[in-house]
Amino acid sequence: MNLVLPSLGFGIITASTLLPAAVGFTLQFSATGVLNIAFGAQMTFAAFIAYVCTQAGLSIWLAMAAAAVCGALASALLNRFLLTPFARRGTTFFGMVVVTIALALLVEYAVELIWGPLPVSYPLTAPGLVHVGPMSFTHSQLVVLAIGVVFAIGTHALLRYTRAGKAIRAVADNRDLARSSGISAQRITDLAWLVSGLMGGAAGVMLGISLSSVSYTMGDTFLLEIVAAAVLGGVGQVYGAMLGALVIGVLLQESAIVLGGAYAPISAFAVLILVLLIRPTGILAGAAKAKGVS
Amino acid sequence: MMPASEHVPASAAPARAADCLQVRDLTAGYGGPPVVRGISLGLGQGQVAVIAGPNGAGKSTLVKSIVGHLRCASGSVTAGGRDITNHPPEKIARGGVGYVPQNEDAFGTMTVLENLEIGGYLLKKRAVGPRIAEVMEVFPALGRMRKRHVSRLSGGERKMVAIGRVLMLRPRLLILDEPTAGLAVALTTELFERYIPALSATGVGVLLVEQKATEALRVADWGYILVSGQVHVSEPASTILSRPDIGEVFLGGSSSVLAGED
Ligand SMILES: Nc1ncnc2c1ncn2[C@@H]1O[C@H](COP(=O)(O)OP(=O)(O)OP(=O)(O)O)[C@@H](O)[C@H]1O
Ligand SMILES: [Mg+2]
Repeated sequence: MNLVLPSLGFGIITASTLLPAAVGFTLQFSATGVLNIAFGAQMTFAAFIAYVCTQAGLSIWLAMAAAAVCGALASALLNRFLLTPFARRGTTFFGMVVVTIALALLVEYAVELIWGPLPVSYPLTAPGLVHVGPMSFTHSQLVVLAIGVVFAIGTHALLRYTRAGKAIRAVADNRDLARSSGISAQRITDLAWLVSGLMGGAAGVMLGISLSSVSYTMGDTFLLEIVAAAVLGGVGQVYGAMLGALVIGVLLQESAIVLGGAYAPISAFAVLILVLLIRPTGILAGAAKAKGVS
Repeated sequence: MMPASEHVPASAAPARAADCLQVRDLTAGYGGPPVVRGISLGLGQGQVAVIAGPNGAGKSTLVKSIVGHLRCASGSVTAGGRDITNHPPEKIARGGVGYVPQNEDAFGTMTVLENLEIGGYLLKKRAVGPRIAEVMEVFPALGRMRKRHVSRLSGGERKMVAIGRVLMLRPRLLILDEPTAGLAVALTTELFERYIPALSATGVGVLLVEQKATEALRVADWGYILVSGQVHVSEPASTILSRPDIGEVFLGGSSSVLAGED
């Protein structure tokens, strides 16, 4: 019995969740040069916000929207009032990483304190399956897939075609030059963190849906996959992160089938290491600088 | 295509009317000992001033502290009569000061067209397109490479993008840090003999940091020679050009002569 194709479906769903997360993560890095280890914890936080919303009677999709907005605000505030002051004091790159690690732990403990250590789950409606060739999806998985596609197209449209999106790219490329062109770099950085927080928040809820459970450690576990996708694509490169999400998402699920669940992460990361050996700056490494959204 | 000025261009008048840019007693550096000390200079509307001097003299440091990329430890900078000392760079840009840095002068990850769009970031949305068309009329080469990524351009092509970008906002004061480095002879000549005079004719003040000082001084009103972070010579351009003793120091002669003199 061949399970490679059916598990491609799982891979695509994982990739759809991974995509907004990896893009958000990489966008934060390109906008401010901060590798935000707390990104996973922020996703968890948003996932629980959505849980609270569903408990209050909202549909899961409205709850996701609310969680995404909360994630966006939390992300922008975090950058403005925690990370920016540290950066102003001249905190080094690794110093900033440590700050975000501390933040990740804090958020995780806070979530555990508020909602407890036991996983919860969203009330998902009718589990009718939709078959696409050998793959089958639940309705909510299909919506997750659609949201992933919307995020991919939306990010592309934002960065390519809007004034604000181009300003984000300009600030990521050369902050000083962008400022000398009249761009308020602080405002644009806030915007970049809002957008990435929005994606992280939505991704947290999407993860909760595809895992059918929400626990206080789920974002942290997922962070490894986010980092893998981002690094695979070349950190700071948005299209690279999209491609990286697809590759890592599919690889994780395929290797779970072919090699057994326990080996899935190993094979995915083996591929990551292999790619980095051949292309040290990521799959999409081209003439574009590593830093800068291209 | 350049904006009409309300000011009468102050011809080569030696009077140091400094209504465009006035730097007084400026001291700045990178946190350690100051790199430039006690710099004073002035520039009138429609005037061209050249800053020359040996490598490491502090020319770039000086202009970076004028445009807000470096903090001035002391002294003051006024542009168009308004104090801009230690203002954030975006505010200085909004005040009509255009700056082309010596290095990293354009957005490498963006296309030529996008660079111009960012240059026109402060313009009204519907004014950006027409302004890009105007700038491309001045530099037709930009139109031909509009879709290309700046990181794939040659040094000279990239410099054109950088200058095109800064012209987008019609600055009243234009600060160019060694714009001809890496530029072909023909383009250098064109910059000095056509574009810069055209700009100053419309009342734009141009502050030009330049290694090719002789050529630059020919189109300039005033010349400053910076050595070890201080202004050693501040004379009308014609005077500097006519005095071989000064000329020799920085026009192909060894710059160590002046550097060692204090
Ligand atoms: N980012 C920096 N941090 C610390 N010191 C710097 C920095 N940039 C320049 N300097 C120092 O400041 C001094 C003046 O440098 P600056 O770049 O202003 O010289 P310059 O006159 O522009 O030279 P060039 O003609 O080579 O461009 C040099 O001694 C240099 O080492
Ligand atoms: Mg210099």
